[in-house]
Amino acid sequence: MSAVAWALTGLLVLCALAWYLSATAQRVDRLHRRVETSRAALDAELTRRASAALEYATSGELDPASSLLLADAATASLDAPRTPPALRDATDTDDAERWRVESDLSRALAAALPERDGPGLVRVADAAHRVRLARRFHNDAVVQTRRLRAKRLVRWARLAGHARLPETADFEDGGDG
Amino acid sequence: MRIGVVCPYSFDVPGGVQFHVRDLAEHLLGLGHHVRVLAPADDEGALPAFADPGGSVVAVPYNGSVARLSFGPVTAARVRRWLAEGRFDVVHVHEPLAPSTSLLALWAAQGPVVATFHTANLRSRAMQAAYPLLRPSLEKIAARIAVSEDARRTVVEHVGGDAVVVPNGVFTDAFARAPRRPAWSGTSERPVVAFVGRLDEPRKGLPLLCEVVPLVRAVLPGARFLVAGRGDVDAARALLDDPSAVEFLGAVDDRAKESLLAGADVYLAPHTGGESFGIVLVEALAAGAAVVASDLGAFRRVLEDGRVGRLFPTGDARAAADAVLALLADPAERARLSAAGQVAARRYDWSVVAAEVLAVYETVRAGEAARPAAARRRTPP
Repeated sequence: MSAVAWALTGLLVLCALAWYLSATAQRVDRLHRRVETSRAALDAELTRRASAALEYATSGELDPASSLLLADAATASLDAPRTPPALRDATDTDDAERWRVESDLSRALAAALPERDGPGLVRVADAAHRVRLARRFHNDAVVQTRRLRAKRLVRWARLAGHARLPETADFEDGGDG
Repeated sequence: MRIGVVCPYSFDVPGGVQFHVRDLAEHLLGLGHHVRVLAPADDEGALPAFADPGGSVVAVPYNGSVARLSFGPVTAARVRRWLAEGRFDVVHVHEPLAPSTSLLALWAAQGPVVATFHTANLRSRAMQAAYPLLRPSLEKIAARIAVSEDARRTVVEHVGGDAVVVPNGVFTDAFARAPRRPAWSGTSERPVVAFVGRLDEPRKGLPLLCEVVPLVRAVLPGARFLVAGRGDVDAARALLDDPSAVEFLGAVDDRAKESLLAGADVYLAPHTGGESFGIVLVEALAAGAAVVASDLGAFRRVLEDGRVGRLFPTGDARAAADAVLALLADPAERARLSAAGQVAARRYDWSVVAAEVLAVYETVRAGEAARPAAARRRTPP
């Protein structure tokens, strides 16, 4: 092959590599956005669940002991520090305490909620259902992001920039799976 | 909410996914949402009022049968334009791996995408070959729904990740209130056993039904077997020793199906596989028929492990015939199953199912609304 052909082949390979890198960078960026969105949704649904639980605990529909237990768990959830959803804003995060508090609320709800219907109860049950949805969608996004970021190409080319590696939300949500 | 629903299969042939999309769209419209459906079709004439044509229909073999799909550059451009003009809050793609409008919508989508997986029997070799190409598109799905536990398992094993289960919906009231037709209603001398399903699809179980018929009629000569479904009736009759033992009704419309199930004493589901959910079982339960079904995973779940219907080992004609005979001889047990079945079927009513789908939409939107401003700025317009 002549020098020109070699140069052309090299150029072609470089172009293909550049295209692949940029497409992968786009994927990483899209997944980061998805994780941020699903994390924001999870935070919003958790807040909604805690508010609904607190409202139900103070509505007088429950016995005083259950009320106190539930109100305590709901307040702890509302007071727990929030991690900013944006992956680049926080360099160091520790959600373990937050997830412990949310697991406590799930258990308190399971223990306090009687086997009957009521307008307040429907709201709490609906909020708890949406927490389960949001957690599943978030963890799905996190797992896919971590898989892509574990690829050598992504690590070597630093396609993830300064964004931290997202972590799954590991807490009991009262679901059966 | 502005909702865009994408259906991969043409509406000109009936099918589970098409019915699901149609009923979901109608129910959401009834709740006051803005809903547009995109489905393969050449022009608007063949489509319901809420649907837009997605491109010309091509019949191709896909996933074990012939599917009527739409693909190619013209369709891709149409899908892209539909998404841009729709300005949807949520795009809901059905069967996202079908090489049709669904996959193209996923490819072009920018906003939040919800996807529903219907199939439980994806062929994994094809999936593995195409997967590296599809993965970037699949990563756009913010929320995955599976219509059954079996469909969810397929997602977990073949696609990776997880899905929430939201079952298929049925307008249970239509079945519960369906008027009976005297010609199709059972009497104590001439009880009716009904079956609805395609005749030319062996997995729907017609060959097994044809083995059950003589076994039942040997004990109860008056028993009538009514079979509704598309397919070659002559070929089906050839499976029977006594061709007059089964009455073939051919393809029936929704009203006729409701009346048939409401008048039946026993509904027999002799399927041997390939069922992800078993919507016809829910319809039979809603209509108040006592159900006898093969113990496929999907059927076991709908029948709550035998609490609201009888199960027999899949493919066992003797056991199926015994179960049918036992129920035909016991009106009290039939009445009990019928009542329990109608209660169980309410769980699959569209009012319940659509609320669950809306909860998924709203969970996805909750994140969009609350997303940090810095992240939102990076979103392409």
